[in-house]
Amino acid sequence: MTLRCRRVQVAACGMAGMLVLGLLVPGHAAHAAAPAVAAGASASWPWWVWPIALFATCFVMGIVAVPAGIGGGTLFVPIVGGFFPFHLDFVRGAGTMVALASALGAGPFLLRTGLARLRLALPLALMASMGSIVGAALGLVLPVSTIEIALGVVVLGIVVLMLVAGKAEFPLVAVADRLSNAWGLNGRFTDAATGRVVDWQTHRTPAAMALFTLIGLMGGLFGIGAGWANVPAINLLMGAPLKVAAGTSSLVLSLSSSSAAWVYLNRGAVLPMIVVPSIAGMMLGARIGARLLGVLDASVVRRLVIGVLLFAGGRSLLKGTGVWT
Amino acid sequence: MAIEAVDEQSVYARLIEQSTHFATLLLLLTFSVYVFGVLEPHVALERLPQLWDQSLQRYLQLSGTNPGWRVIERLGRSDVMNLVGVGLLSSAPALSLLVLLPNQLRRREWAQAGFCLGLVTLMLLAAAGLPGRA
Repeated sequence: MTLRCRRVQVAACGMAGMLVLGLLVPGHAAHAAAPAVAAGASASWPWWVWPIALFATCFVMGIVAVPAGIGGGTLFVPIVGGFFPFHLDFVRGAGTMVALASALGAGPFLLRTGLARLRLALPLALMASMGSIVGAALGLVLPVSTIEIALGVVVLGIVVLMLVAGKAEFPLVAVADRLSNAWGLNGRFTDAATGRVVDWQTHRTPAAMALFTLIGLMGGLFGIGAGWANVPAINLLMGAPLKVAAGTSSLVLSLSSSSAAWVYLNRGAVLPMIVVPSIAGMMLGARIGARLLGVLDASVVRRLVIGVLLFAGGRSLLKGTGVWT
Repeated sequence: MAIEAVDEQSVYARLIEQSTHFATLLLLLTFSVYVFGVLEPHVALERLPQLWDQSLQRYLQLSGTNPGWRVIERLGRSDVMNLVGVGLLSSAPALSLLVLLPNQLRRREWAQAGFCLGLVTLMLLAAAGLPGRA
C-alpha cells in the first residue's frame, strides 16, 4: 500500500467517524419533537451519552481542523447544530467558547514566533468585538429558523471561499496608508521554512476595519469563529504575508470571541454539559492533529472537510426551511 | 522601566498562556465535581435531555434559572460552579491587555492604549449585559 493511500485512509476514517457519530445519535429526531417539555428523542437516552458523543465528535473535529486549515468553531456549529439534539442557542454559545479556547491555545506560540502581530490585531479586534457583541445579542432574539437558514448560507459560502479564494504568500504593499503608518501595523518575521527574513507593511486599513466589523457580526451571530474570513481579509485586503495573516487572525478571534462569549454567558446560553466536553475534545484533537500533520494528507483532509461542511450547511438550510427537520 | 514594544508580545503571550491553563484546569475540576455528583447541581443531570432542546427563553423558564450576574447566588451548585472557569476563559484575552496599558501610556502610544481600553470596555459591557435583553 502506498503512503498516499494510507494517508487517504487515515483521513477518510477520521471524517467517517465524525459523520457516523453525528448521524447515529438521534439528535435530528429530537429537533422534530414538539416544543413542549415532553421528552424528545434525546430524553430517551441517558444524559451521559451526549457529553461522551460530543467529546468524541469534537476530538475528531480537532484532529482534522488543523490540517484542513479551518477553525474548530467553524466545524462545530454546523455539525453539532445539525446532528445533536441541543437547541441552536446553546450550540452557538458553545461554538463561541470552542473558537475562543482554540484561538487561546494557539496564541502564545504564534506570538512568540512572530507569526502573530499584536499591534495589527488590536484595531481589527476592536471592530470585530463590536460586531460580535451585536451579532451574539441579535442571534438570541431572531427566530431559530432564520438563523438556521442564514447559517446554512454562510457555511455554503465558506465552502465556496475555501474552493476559490486565492492567497498570496508575500503580497506586495508599495505604500502603507496613513493609519497603518500611524498605528505601526507592520513588522518583520523570519519564515522558518525558508529562513527568509520578511519586512512587511499593510494598507487599506479603513476598509479592513469596516470589513472586520461585519466579520465580527457574523462570528458572534453564528458562534462559528471567523478565521475563514479573517485570514483572507488580512492577507489579500491588507497585504500582510499569509503566515502573519493566519497567526494574527487567531489573536483577533480570541479577542472578539471573548466579548461574544460574555454575551452568551450573561444570557444563560452557556451549558457546561455542552461546553466543557466540546472544549476538551477539540483541544485534545488539535494536539493530535498537529502531530499528525506529517501523516495526514492535508489536501485530502481539506476536501473531506469541504464535503462535510457542504452536507452540514445543506442540512442547516433544509432544517431552517422545514424541508428536513 | 517601560517594556519595549517588541517585548509586549512575549508579555501578552505569557499572560494568556497562564490564564488559559488556569481556567482550563478549573473547568475540568468543576466539571468533574458536576458529572460525578460531588455537589448538587441547579438542574439535575437526568433532566438535562428534556431541557437542552428548548430555546434559551424556555430553558431558563423551565429550569428556574436567573440569567446574568444573579447566577452568583447559586455558585455553590456544581453546574453553576463551571461558569467561573468559563468566565475566566472569556476574560483572559481582554484583561491581559490591561497589563500592557501602563507601558503603552509611558511610551505615548495613544492609539494602541486606546484600542486596549476599548477592547476591555467592550468586554465589560458584554459582561454587564449590554446590549440589553429583548
